[in-house]
Amino acid sequence: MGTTCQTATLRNTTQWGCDDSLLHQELVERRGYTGDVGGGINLLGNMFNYHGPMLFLANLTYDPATSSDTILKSIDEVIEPLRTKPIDQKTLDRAMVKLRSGLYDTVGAQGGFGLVDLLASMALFDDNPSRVNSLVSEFQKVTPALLQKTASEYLRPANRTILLVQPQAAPVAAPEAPAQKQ
Amino acid sequence: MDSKLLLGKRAKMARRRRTALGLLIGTALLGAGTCAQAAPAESSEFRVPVEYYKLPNGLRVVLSPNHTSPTICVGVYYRIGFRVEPRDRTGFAHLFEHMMFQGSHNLGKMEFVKLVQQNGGTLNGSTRFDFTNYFEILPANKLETALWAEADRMGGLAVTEENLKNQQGVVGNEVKVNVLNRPYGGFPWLDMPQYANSNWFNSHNFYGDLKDIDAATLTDVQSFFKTYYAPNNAALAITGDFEPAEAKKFVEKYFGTLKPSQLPPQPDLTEPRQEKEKRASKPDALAKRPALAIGYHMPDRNTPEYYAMGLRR
Repeated sequence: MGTTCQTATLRNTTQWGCDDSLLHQELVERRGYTGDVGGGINLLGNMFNYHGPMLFLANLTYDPATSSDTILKSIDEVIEPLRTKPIDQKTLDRAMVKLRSGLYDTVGAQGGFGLVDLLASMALFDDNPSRVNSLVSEFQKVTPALLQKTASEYLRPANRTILLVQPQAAPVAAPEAPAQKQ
Repeated sequence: MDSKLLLGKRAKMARRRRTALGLLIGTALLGAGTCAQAAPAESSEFRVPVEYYKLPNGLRVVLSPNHTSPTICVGVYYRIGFRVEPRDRTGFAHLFEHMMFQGSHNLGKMEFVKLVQQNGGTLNGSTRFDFTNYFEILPANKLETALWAEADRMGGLAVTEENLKNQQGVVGNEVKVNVLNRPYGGFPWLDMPQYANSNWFNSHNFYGDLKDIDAATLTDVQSFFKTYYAPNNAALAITGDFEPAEAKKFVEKYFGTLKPSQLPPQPDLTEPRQEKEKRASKPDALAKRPALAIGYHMPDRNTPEYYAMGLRR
């Protein structure tokens, strides 16, 4: 997971699922409900290469013996404190390190395509590809207070959709009766 | 939705990919040399060279030279994603992406792919929410080849009824392989927008209903191309080992004569503020275990809250 997590913010991968992410810690390490938590911003790209509304997703598979309500209760136990208490500066600093690491990773990815993707997206959507050079400073403006305020509005239960996949085995067709011999 | 999954020869490249969808950005590390080279000596700030200009026909051009390795990457992004495809043609943006490999003025069916691969390069195309992109990575001495080829297909397609039918079949199979006949197919990337969003542009089936895909006509393809695949609806980005002055000459030579189109206004993509939690359930005859996804609407792009969400872990 190491490399994936370092690039979490910039790629379509597992921002929630990094080994040190809060949901991973709760659902994988502490509760053992699942082996992995996936998700992030824009599963078909990253947080920079879209223009309209977007979803911030987390997803997991779990054992049938565990109820979805149990999973959701644990998720709420992670999310709600984010809405009511500021995180400590050390945690924010660590997120910034990962952000910067991910940015370098993205720029060098796939023979330069990672950078092409950022530049072309920012040219198309912002008419300003130089924005790529101000990303870090924009993230550096984020404070614990802003994180809490943002979580309070955007991680509120009313702002979310919960989708459950229910295994539903197709009925097994009865074997055809052997043809009657004449 | 990614072309690497789609076309016969291009599908071979898909095996290199880590997941079925969406991982446009690979794991190869070029290292920090690029950025360190461009950054001021006293600063650890992230910085890459960016030169940006527009051709008179509206094409947005971004140059970012980096001489770390003797390769170049050329990307052409068209501002037409699956969000804004026609209402009775779900899946059309993606189907059209396939058509861009079916022939242009000087390149026959699949010859674009051959051209890149036989020059030691690799390529791909993808359909995303707000753009469709095409890119190739080649040895640095093939920059002109890449620009010529991309300009050739931006200048006009040479698709036929036969090619369209063929690709409708390919796309239909892709939907079956990646969604309909796969456990957790489309979960959550394709499913969640359909439940969480209320604006049709954000909530329709982006891969497309099979009947809509089959209903597309050659006239649809030609009209779509004429409207959206124009220089004033595109951005061309070049990174790697090239000299900007030479690249500009090639860009002007091959793209400068292309005509802009009359673009329709961008549709309203806004979503209302969600005031109540939504819950939905999807039966899956192939899944063995239950799965859960939870999706929150993001803050608007480029706001302080947007950056704050980007740091959420």
